[in-house]
Amino acid sequence: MGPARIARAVHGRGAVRPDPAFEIAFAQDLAHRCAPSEIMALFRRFNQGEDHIDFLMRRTCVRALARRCGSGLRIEPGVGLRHVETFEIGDGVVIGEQVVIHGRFDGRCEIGSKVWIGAQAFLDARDLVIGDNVGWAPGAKVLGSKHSGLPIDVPIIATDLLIPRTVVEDDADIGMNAILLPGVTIGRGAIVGAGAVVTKDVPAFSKVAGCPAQVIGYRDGREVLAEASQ
Amino acid sequence: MIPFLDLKLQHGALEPELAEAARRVIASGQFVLGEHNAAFEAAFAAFCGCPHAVTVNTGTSALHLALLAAGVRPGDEVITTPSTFVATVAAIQYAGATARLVDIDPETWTMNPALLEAAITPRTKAIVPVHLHGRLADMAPIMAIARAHDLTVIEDAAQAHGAELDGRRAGAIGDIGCFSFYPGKNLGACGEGGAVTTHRADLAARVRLLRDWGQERKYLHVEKGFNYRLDELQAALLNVKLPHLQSWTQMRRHAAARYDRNLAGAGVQQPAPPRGRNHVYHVYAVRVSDRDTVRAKLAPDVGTNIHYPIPVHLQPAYADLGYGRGDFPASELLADETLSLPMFPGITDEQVDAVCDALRDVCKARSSLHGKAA
Repeated sequence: MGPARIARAVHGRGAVRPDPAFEIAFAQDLAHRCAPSEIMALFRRFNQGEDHIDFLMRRTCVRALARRCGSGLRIEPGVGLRHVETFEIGDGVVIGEQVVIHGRFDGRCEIGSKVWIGAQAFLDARDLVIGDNVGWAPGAKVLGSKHSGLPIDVPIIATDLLIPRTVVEDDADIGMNAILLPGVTIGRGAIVGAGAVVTKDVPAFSKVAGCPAQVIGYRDGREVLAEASQ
Repeated sequence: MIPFLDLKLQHGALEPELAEAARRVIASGQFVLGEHNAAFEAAFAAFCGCPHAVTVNTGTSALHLALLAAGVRPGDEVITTPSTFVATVAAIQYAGATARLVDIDPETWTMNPALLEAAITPRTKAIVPVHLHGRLADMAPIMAIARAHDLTVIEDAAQAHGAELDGRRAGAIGDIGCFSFYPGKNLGACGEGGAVTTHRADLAARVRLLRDWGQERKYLHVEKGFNYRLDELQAALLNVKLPHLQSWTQMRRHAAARYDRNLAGAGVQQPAPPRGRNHVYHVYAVRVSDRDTVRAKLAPDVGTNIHYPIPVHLQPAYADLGYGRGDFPASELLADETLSLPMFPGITDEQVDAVCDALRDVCKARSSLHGKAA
């Protein structure tokens, strides 16, 4: 491996500037005049372009529908959103190209401030809480529910859904193409390696990798074995 | 021959998209106030930096409804300038009000704020500054005077789509903005169209009501409104064109800068330099004495126009305003001497240079002729 070039991180370093007042009023006007289906139709209409109006319209439509939407939301083209009415979004969030965030009508999707979600991520957001400053690499996925599979004489797809809360705490980083299974908690500041399949909770500031994901180290230098023996 | 305006350039490039948009409207069977209108209203509001945009069928309707929404009633007075297309004054009269005119500033060719206060009477209800040729009127003092006298400011932004002042765009600076999408406008429909923009939800709601027969819901007419709706076909075509408006404006500014450079010292008076990005050059006009002769000499090679040869107060149809020649000297001078040069997105550097060369030649020949005569 050759020497790596070091570049300064861009996202999340600066303060988020408040969105202009007209955008807030614009979203309120849309919410007041239009049905949610009409607002989503508008969102789709502006969902492919990359000029100023496209970004503004995507942000405004989400703001018009969401429970809460902070300033500086940037939604790249081709994003798929379902049940935006259950979303609570902080400040300075970036949602990458072709991301799908799939909520549920009775669900809860919290995305903290300065969260960065890479392209083609899939977030099953039936009960999902993402803290502040979370990095979510391209292609990483979270599942939000599983079927009980019982009784066994019923097709699995027809059995009840279990929807546990999945939590990604502040400052955690989810690697490219990682998969989080329903109900896990990724501890604060933890790193989930690329391609990891996380089946159980991940301790704060740990580094996990593999399938199923195992702790392979800690960011503060603690030994894994020492940790396990305690 | 260099045309004064060439709309085929922009339509040619967008023809497949425009045709597809038209096809979708026809296939939908919804021809009035449908999804294309809703999308265009949202996008145009976003473009202007306004929370509300309401489409209407013409720029004149936009002005008319803006005045009504502002509460202008018969017997009220509304102040504007005589240096505008007659629609500005016509709309004031449609609302039953009296148009009181103030002259323009001879440098900027827009409403002279220094003359404004003297024109305000107890009956004054609104001020309609006109962003002539795409240059914003001097909005800061106009707004200050309007606020001091509790008057509504309605921007006639029919020629100024995208003009900016300190980060705010035409239509979002005053209380209400009125736009025209007449085909030759910076953003033009393939037919007629207009829009009202505003920060105030109450004004937007009232314009929305009035444009559609005063209907609160179908067949419930809560007041006497108008049939001023924009058709879906125009809205769909405007949706195709709006994303290109910024780049078209850049092309206009590029051409204007070239005119500015080329015509320095050519014997014509150029428009005053714009402040920041406050000019979108719907028209690039110069002032030249003996304008009609110059225009005639240019005619074989260069298409020109005159915006507008007779100021509103001297139009026979508006004699009822009660003004006469000499009442607004700056406007009259402008009407007598302005010459609008070719300006459209896609005009080439070579075309601009050729216009400038032709104009220089005509002016030079004229001055040498005058020299001999002297």
